[in-house]
Amino acid sequence: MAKKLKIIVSVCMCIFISFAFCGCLKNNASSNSDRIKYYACSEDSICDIINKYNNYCSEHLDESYQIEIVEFDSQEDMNLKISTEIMSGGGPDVLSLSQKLPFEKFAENETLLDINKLVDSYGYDIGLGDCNSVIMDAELVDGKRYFIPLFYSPDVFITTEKTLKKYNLSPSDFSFKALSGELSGRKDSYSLLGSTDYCINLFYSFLDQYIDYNNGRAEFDTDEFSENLDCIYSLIKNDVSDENTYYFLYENINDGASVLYKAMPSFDSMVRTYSFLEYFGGSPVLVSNYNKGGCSSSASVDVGIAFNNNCKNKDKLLPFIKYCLSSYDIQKDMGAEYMYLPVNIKAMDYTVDMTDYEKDFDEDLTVSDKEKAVSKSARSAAIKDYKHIINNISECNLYSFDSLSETYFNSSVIGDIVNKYLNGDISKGKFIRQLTAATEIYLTE
Amino acid sequence: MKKKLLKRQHREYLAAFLFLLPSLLGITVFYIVPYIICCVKSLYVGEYFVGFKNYTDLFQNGTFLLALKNTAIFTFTAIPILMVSSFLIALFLNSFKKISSFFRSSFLIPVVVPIASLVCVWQLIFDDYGAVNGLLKLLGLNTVEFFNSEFSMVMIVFIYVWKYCGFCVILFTAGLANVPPSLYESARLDGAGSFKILTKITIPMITPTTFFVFLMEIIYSFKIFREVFALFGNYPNENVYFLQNFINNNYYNLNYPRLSSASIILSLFIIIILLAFFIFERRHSFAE
Repeated sequence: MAKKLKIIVSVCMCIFISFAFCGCLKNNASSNSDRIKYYACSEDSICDIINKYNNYCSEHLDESYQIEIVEFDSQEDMNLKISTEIMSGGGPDVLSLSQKLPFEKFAENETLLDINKLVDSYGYDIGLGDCNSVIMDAELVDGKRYFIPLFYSPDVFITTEKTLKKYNLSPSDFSFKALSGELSGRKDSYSLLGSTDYCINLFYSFLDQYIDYNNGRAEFDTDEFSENLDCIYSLIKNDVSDENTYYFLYENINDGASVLYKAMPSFDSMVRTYSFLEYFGGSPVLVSNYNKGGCSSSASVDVGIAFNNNCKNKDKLLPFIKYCLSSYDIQKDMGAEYMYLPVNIKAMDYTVDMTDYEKDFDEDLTVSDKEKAVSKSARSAAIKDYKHIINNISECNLYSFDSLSETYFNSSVIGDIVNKYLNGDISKGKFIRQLTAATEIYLTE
Repeated sequence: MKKKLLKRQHREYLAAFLFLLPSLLGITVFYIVPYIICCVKSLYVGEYFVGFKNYTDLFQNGTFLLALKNTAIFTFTAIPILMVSSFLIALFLNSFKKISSFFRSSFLIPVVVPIASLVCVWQLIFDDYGAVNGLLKLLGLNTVEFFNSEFSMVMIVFIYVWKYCGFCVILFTAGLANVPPSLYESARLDGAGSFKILTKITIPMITPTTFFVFLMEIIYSFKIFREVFALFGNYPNENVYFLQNFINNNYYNLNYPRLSSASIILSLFIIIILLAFFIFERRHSFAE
C-alpha cells in the first residue's frame, strides 16, 4: 500500500507540475495576440500619437496594425504590471520614456528591442535620415538603438541683459559658477528659476553630468565635482522662490524677479517671450544649462519611445516608428500642440517658417505699427538665437528637464539622499559618500 | 484478522495522503515549479542558452560579491551571537524554580510588534542625533554614523538579536525543561562540576532544540531584510547591502538572468548551511 501511495503521490505531483508548466505556456500564448499594446495610467502624449496612428491604420494599413491602449489607475500598478509581465516573457510592446522605469538598465540587459537590428532584418526605412542625427544618435549604446526620441528641447534658460548686468555678468561670460559667486556675495534674496521644482531639476541635471550610464561609472569623488557642487548647492539653497507665484509672467522676467526662466521649447513660445521682453524694453538672452563639458549646449528628450524585446509582432512596430518620425500629423501638429521641438528636420523647418506672432501688447484692441515692428524684430532675434543653440547641441539626455526628479534613478535610488542634502539634514561629505555608494551599486548590480 | 488490519492500514494511508494533498499541491505549484523555471531561466539570456555563463558573470560582478560577503558576515555573526545569548539567558531563567507566565510571554513582544513602529524607534535610537549618539556625546566619545558606516552592520545584528532573542529563549527554556533531572543528580553524585554538566549533559541533551532554534534563526536571518529595507530603502550603504537587495533591485531592473542565478545561489547557500547542520546534528545528538 505504501508503495502504491508513493506512486500515486508521484504521479499526482507530475500531473500538477505539467499543469503548472502548461499554465506558463498558456500565458505566453495569450500575449501572442495580433495587436501591439501600450500601457498608460493617464492620457499622455503617446496616447494621442497612438490614437492618430490607429486612425491612420484604418485608412492606410489594416486594423491589425492598430495599437491597443491598456489603462491603469496608478503609475505604481502599471509599473508593477509591466515588470511582472516582461519578466514572464510578455508585457506591453511600446514603452514611453515618461514612464518611471529604469530604462538604462533595460537597455543594458536587452529588455529593450534594438531598433537598428530590427530595421536591418526587415530592410525597412523608418525615416531616420529625415531626423536630427544629433538627437537621434545621442542615446546609442554600443551602436544599438533602444530609444526613439520624438520631441526634444534644448537645455536653455531665458534671461535679460539687464538681469545679468545686475549681477555683473554678460551673456558671453555667463556661467553658473560666476552667477553663484555673485549671488553669494550679496545679501539680496532672489529667485533662481522662478520655481522650487525647477531648482531641484537643475540639481538633478547637474548630478547627471557626472554619471556615465553606458560605462557604469560615476565621478562624484573628484575635486571638480566637489567644487561645482558648492556652487549649485549655494544657488539652490539661497533661492527664495514662492511656489505660488506664476513664474512665466513676462513682466516678471523683464523685472528680473527671477534670474533665469525655463521657457517652453517651441519656436512659437520662444518668439512670444522675446516679443514681450523687447516690448517692455528688455534684451532677451539665452543661456545654456550647467554643462560639465563647458561651451557646448545640450538637449533632452521630451517625448520618446522604446520597445519591448518580448514583442511577438516586431514587424508591426516598424510602420508605427516610421509614422511617428515622418508623419506631419505627429511631428508638425503635435509638436505645436505640446510646444516641443520635432526631431523631423522638415517639420522643424516648417514650424520655424510658420512662427508668426503679432501681439496687442498695450491691449488697445489694435496692433499698432510699433507693436508690429517689435514683433518682427523679436521674431528674427528669437529664431536666430534659438537656432544657434539648436545647431550647437552636442549631447542629448534621455529624460526631459521638467521631469528629472521623477525618473526611476532620481526618485528611487538617490531621491532620499538628495532631499536630505538639500534640506540640510546631511553634510556635503556624507552626501557625496552616500551618493557615490548608491550610484555605484545601481550602475553595477 | 490480518486482512482487516491491512485494510485499516490502507485506509489510514489514504487518509494521510488526502490530508497531505492540498499542501503538496501548493508546494508543487508555488515552490517546486517556480524553482525549476528559475533554474532553467538562469541558464538563458533572453532566448539564447548560455549554460553557466550567468553564474560566472555573477561571480565577476563586484556588487553581487559585496552582497554575498555582507550576507555571509551577517549570517555567521548574528546567528552565533543570538544562539549563545539566548541559550545563556535560558540557562539563567532555568535556574529559577518558577517564572511567571507574564514574564515568559513578554519575551515574544519584539516579534509581534509591527515593523513600521519598530523602525521609527530604531531611527530615534540610532540616528546621528539619536539616543545612542547623545549618550556617546555625553560621555565625551565620538559619535557614530549608524546609517552610513561599518556600524550599520552592527546595528542590524543588534536589531536581529534583540528581536528574536526572546523567542529563542522560550524555545531553549522548553528544551532545558525536558532534560531529565536524574541525569544532573547522578552527574553531581559522580562529582561533575557545573561546566562539565553543561558541556556533557545539557548541551548534548538539547541538540534537537538547538537544531530547531538554528533552523528558525536561519529563516529569521533572511526575514531581517524587511527591517533593512524599511531602514535603508532599496539602496542601502555598502555595509548592509544584502543578497536580498541585489535580487530585489534586479527584479525592478528586469534582469531575469541575473535575478534567477542569484536566487539559485542564495537557495544553495541556505541548503548548504542546513545540510551541514543536519549532518552535525546526526553525529552529535544524544537526546535519544
